[in-house]
Amino acid sequence: MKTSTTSGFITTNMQNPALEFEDFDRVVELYRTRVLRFLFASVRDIDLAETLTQDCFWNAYRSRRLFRGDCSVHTWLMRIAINLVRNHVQNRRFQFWKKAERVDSREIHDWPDGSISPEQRAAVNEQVQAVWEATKTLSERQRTVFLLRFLEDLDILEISHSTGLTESAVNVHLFRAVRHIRKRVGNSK
Amino acid sequence: MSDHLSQDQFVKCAIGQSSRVELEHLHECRKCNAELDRFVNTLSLFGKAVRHRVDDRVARHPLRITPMRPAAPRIPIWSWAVVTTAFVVLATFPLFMTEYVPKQAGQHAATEANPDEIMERVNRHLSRVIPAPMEPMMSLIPEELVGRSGGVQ
Repeated sequence: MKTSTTSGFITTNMQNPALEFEDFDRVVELYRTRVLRFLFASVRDIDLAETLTQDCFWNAYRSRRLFRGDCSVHTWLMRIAINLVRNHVQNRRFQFWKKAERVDSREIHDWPDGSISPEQRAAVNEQVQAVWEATKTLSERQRTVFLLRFLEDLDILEISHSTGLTESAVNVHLFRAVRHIRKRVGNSK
Repeated sequence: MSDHLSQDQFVKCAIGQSSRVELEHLHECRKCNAELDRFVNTLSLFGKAVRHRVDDRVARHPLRITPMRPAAPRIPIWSWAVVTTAFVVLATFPLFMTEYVPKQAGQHAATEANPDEIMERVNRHLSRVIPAPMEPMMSLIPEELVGRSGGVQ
């Protein structure tokens, strides 16, 4: 019996959820980009995000027998990724001598789309940069909820499953995050 | 309701939690509607930009995930702290175990500056009847034995 979620191609074998991980290469192939994307936007360092992505799949592989199938594989992987980000943030508090961010924000908005004019491109870049900078100032939880909603397109229920927060808590964090970003983006104009 | 949406109402609309009143206002107010569209579009562009960045990375760096190979075990930061603390304690331990006897540097220098004092010290040293390390033992020997023939002296 297979179920699907709003986030797309995720299916779960309800009779034996661990079977989802029989072909682990396939799991990696399907979800690597999404996990990497979330981790990159969270830690703002593409090399570190790659390492954490590897850790995420390694943790998933080790504990694949514990997967009960009460959520999608994607949600489960995101839960592992969120825990890795949390651990990283906690460790980084002690590593204050390390540079906090290794991504030049110009890297984020290097648009391949040649259909827009240079002026439009500049305006788009400015907006994207403002949001990127604003996400940096969010609390860890607000940033996680914001990224899951607007980067991963997860709905409130999926975010709730991924983060372990209640739906109302997710709504509150999302509201505060977007209000903060709205203020910052408004100020940058 | 005022002329336009408040910040909180605007944010509610942006995250899809708008009430009927706000929806009606958006339907009527072009300015709020356009501003909401612009903001939602900005958030969408942000998502696209990050996706593009990561897709580009994935394209340039093909699959590197090898789930059978564990990541290198990381030593937690607190264990480093414990090791460092232990090292510092061990390194400074001898300092606390050694009794610190402050030297009376000024007095010593004044004594050495006087030639008579120096000569007296030399004479005292030369006239000692027993070696200096054994001097503490003199207190153990009864007074009457000291100075007798065959005695200590």
